[in-house]
Amino acid sequence: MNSYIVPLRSASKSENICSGKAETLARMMESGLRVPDGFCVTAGAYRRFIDSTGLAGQIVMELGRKRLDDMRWEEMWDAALRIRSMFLAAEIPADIAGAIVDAVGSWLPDSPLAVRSASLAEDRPETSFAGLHESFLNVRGAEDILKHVKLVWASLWSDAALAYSRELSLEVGSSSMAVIVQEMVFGERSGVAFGVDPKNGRLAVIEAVYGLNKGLVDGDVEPDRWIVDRGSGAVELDHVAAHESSVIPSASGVRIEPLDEIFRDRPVLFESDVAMVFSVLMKAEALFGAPQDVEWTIRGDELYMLQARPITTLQTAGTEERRSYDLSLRRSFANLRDIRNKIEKEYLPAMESEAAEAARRDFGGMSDEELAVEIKSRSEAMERWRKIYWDEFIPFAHGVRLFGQVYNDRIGSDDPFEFIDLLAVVPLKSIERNTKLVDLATMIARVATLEGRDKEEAREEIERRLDILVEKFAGLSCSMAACEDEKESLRALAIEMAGTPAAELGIDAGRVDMLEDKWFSSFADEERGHAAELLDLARASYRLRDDDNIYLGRFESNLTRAVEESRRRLGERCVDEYSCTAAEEVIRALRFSEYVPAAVTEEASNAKDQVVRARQLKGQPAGAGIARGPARVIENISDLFTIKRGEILVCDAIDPNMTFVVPLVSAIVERRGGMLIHGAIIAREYGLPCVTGIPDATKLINTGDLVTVDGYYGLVIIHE
Amino acid sequence: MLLSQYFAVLCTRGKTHPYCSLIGFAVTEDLCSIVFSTMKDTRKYNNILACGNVSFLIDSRKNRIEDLKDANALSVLGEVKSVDSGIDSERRKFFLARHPNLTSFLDDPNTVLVTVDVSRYILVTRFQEVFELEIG
Repeated sequence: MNSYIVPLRSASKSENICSGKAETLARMMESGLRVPDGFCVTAGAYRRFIDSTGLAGQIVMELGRKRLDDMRWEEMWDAALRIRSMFLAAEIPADIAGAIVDAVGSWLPDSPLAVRSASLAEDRPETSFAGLHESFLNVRGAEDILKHVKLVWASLWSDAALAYSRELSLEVGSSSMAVIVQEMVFGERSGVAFGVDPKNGRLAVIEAVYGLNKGLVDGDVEPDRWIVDRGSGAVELDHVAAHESSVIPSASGVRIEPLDEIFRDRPVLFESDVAMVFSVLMKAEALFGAPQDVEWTIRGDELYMLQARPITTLQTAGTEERRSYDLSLRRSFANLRDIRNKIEKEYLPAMESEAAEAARRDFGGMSDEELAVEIKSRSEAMERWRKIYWDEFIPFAHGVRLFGQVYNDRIGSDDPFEFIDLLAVVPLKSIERNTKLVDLATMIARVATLEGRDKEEAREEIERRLDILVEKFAGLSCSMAACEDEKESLRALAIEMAGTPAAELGIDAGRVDMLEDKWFSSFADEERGHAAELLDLARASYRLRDDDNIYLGRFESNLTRAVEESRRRLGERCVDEYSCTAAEEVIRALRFSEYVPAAVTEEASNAKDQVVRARQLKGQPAGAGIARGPARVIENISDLFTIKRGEILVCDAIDPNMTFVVPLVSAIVERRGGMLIHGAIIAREYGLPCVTGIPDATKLINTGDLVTVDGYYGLVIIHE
Repeated sequence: MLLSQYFAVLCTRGKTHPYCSLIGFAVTEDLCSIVFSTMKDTRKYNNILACGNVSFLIDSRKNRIEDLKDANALSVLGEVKSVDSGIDSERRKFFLARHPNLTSFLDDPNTVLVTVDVSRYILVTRFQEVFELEIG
């Protein structure tokens, strides 16, 4: 045996090399409880791996782009994904790899394995990283075992772990990661058990599902639940679940499958089984001197203990709450599938019809009071849908994340975001609109070459197309300030585009086919159906990331038009261009003839007045390439219509309703960070360099500054 | 960083190459001047006499891998304003308040105090983020 491998039964926390989780398993083994055998890859192996491969420095560089406190969740996900790819690409030192493979050969030959995270910080009394790191089931063969050991190591830097560290002000990465490799026990029934019900100290709670425990722990499979009186041992069946699905082994890993009919009405456990689980629960409590939260599985008649830890909710309510929230940002495939159904079948059609119905209501016959009611109704509709957007649409973005992670784990490309090219095959609504604008520009350019009747017809056609653009995409390119002139603004933009050919879409069908082949060939034949489902879900998620704002934009546009009508009626009571823009203000003014709406003052910024000047700003690389040109800083929507070809678009947060100018620009810089924000998505579609996540981008860069955008490294250089 | 660091790398212009030296420095409260001491029989002194344009590098390295994200580096550009023995001058008191251990060094008649007028500070943080401050 060497310093990198410790048999599970002799794992010791005191040496701080195998984690509390391993020590707990070891103590349960010693006490006679049945635990799958295995070994621990020590935290020393992890440290040597990151030092010898240079990963330690690469992680510092990756997380040094900006302060963790300043990172949005999406940026943390991007960073975690890059780090995960670095781990996959790095080679485990030969002596460590050899020791792991030898240990498997000695103790667990021919056995499918569970490769489980065992962070040294996990299950400390003051914090609980439980569930924030990753474990893998049904891993087979030396190569796959080594790969999954690396993935467990990488999960020390998972997005959820980073977010949790930030919230608790823990030093990121100060911990280390051991790995537990155990025999995989394919239990037919599995569950969790709590020694004490947090709501009633006299009771214990046992939950169970058919199949493997992963279904329960991930929240994909609803469990049956029993309550046990700790004193008398009396059992009461508290809840019977629908028994619709279970997690079972697949060719590689595990998968969720519909459950056979015969299990539908049969409780997962008999009363004798519940007594057996309760008995081991009490043994664990006696062994560790405190009520435990245990995971178990039953294969045949034998119960195996998979994990035990103190019930953290009794000790660390605040940190537990935080951890639960960070975990909730991860979504499982089953959960995402449900959200998608709801969005596509329920929300989007409802949004479409509700927005269209509101748009049809004519202001002409409305009294001032009726107009006030209309504005209120439109404002409430916008808020209602905005809430649904935050609660349902944004979590659906995790479909792209789930896909990206699976893609990188299976294919291991040098570019951790290669998978996005595989998703960008369905035209986004904003691109469809942008293409129409480019077509119009082409037509305008052609008019100059025509004469006589042809020229007249072409001009009429241009007017017709402009009307269609304005009507079909009503309000998408306007805001409170710019809506009235939308047609003329679009005309001016099209004329600017007509000068020279605009940027073309960067989608390469051949490349998409090649990536699809790569994706599907990484799955066994029987798993390809699931691979297709994953891809389909990810494409829907990707498409919606852009389109959902367009649907939401219709409600905003409806409100804008109603407010504009009220501005027209209020006349001189709107003292300046900002004073009649807030819905509540105009409603009040419509109802009370003496009321003068308050002016909206923009928050003053003196950043540009300071002597300190930014020369080089670091952000997230979100679109590969390098471009140099004058900056065009977008401070309000009307600035979009002043963009000239070749300028660098600098904005706070680009949304799909603003992207019609993208064909003109040579690069995009955005304050918000992430690979999945709209600016990044559109930049990638057009093959433009893009840097995101630059705080105060619009304050530190001035329109006209000559800037270089380095989309490979994520750098914006402001020249003198 | 100007207050936490005692030493800086001074870069002067040599005949064939730029020339770097480690020096103890003190910066005035208004950030307009940096003062350091040197002996007259040195390369840096002769370089300064030939060309007064100098730069400094002041940094917060700890020689750990985390320096990649945690260390800051401040480049300072300026021009030598005066070179004098500084005996009994306010400048001498100012410099010794920062470097009391250099009293005997300053007492050496071969030592001079050099005052540099700063024109620009360039701060690099997180490896690649750059901000500039113009003086005057």
